Amino acid sequence: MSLPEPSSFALLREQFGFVPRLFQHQAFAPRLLDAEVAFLDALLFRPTTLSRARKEALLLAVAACRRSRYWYTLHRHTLPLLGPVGDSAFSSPAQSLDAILVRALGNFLCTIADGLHPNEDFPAAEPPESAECPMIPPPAALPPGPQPAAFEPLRDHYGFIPRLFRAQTARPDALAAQAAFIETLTADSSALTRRQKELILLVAAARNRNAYLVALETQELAVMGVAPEDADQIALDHRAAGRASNVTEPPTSASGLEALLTAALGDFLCSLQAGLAVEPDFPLRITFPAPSQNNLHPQPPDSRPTLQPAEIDPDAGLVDAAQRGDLAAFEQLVARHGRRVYRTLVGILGNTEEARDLMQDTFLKAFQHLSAFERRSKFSTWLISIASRAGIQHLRERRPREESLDDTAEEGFRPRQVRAWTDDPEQAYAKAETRALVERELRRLPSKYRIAVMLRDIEQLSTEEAAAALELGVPALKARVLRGRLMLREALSSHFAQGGAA
Amino acid sequence: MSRISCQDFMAEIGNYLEGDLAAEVRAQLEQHLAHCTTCTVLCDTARKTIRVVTDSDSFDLTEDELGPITATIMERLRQR
Repeated sequence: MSLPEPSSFALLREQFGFVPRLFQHQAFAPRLLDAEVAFLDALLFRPTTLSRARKEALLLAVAACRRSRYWYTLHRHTLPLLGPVGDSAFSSPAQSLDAILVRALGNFLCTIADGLHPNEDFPAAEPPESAECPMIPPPAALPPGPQPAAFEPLRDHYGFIPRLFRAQTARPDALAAQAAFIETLTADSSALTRRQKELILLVAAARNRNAYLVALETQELAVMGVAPEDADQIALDHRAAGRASNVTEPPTSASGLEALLTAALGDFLCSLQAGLAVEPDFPLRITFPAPSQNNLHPQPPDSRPTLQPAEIDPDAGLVDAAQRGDLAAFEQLVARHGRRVYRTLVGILGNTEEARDLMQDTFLKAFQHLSAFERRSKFSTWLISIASRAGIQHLRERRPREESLDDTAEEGFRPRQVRAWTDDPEQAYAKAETRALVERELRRLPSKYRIAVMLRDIEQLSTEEAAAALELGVPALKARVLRGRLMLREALSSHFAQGGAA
Repeated sequence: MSRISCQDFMAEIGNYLEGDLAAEVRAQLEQHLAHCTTCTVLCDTARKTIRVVTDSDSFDLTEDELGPITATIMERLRQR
């Protein structure tokens, strides 16, 4: 005997022409599925300022960026059937808000697909290699609508109305959909406790490097008896809830699906907040280095943020003085960081003569732009990023046909040297010899790997600092560091292998 | 725990070297290392590579070398 199908199947059939597998897999939990589809209905199916085709195109772009083969395949199929997409500019703040909501919805749907990993509904279409996140400028101030009815359930849930929702009063329908979805997820009859769900949201916020939502969730958890220091620790070590959902088994229980939908909601809220650039409701206890305004993806669980209290920069005093025109203070900064700037330039350029030349330009630039230094990072990180930019520009101008500096031409790297090394390689040669050897092999590395390894292993910057200094995402930085280290290993192996040099 | 291949291990070696892994994943990797000499050697030599590089003082500038550079920079600044 088959169970009656969830009521939302009819709407899905009407909208997609069939019931996509993603939703079929959730039929075992009809209450949750219906809530999810109602959410989708308000943000996607119902007419809003953007055409359906335009919204679907945006979802396709998000699916590409998130590398969701499932959604990329489905939207690729559906989009041509919806008619012309039209102009890509947004002609009004209302359209921008609409687009930001749809982009956040795309994020939500991709997370669900990552968790359920359904087979594609059509022959699979591979998302392109490096798809850009759709950038949407935050809407200019929208006239606030009257207090929406949705504020009541939101106030019940949060204890107040977070700014994230206040910013959407021009779209009472979207607010109502969010409130209804949140209410369903946290209803008394649900399988997970409220506290468990808020923890999932905290972790989602941390994975997205979204300080706003981390602060909000920390506050919610405090009301439930979780000490803020504990919430901080969970956010910092955000693997507490496990790795990204695509390596776990798809949920078959209501509690598993609730957990997935809660994580997806977290990604939705983070994307929304980043798009609207809403100010925090509470003082931030944790900030994340180099948060990006249009940060769509949940960061993979390996990127670690740090607690950043205000006075962590040891150069703050000298920078203050230098900004007021105190040259002696600036001279001290040069003395402090000269070697590091030099090494950064050697890292980019691969030779010492050019590095010496560019050092002067780097510090002069730093002095000129000192007033623009906003202290969002340490002074030394900022200085290194100036040096690396100067170095990269020099490379492009003077040696334009040299190796590419970006990641477009990545091939796999297979280690070949598999001989064990002597127990203490540093005793194998005199210090000066070892140094000469390492310098020689560093010079031979392609620039983008060399600089990554040098910033991590010689300057000892953290992964986030190095990524910020090179203006890269953390995953890209990590990939370059690994590649550089493995290439060095390969080159050094013949010198350090047991049984003497080959 | 299902067994993982050398290819799987290599996909995670970066995070393993940094100590940046969930406990369950690390346990799986260590189980692989327990019976795979090649991956063990790779890890060991990679770790040694990092240490050699860190301790090498590569491209270090001495005070004697940095001093004149600093002086030139400050002179150029004072002239503006």
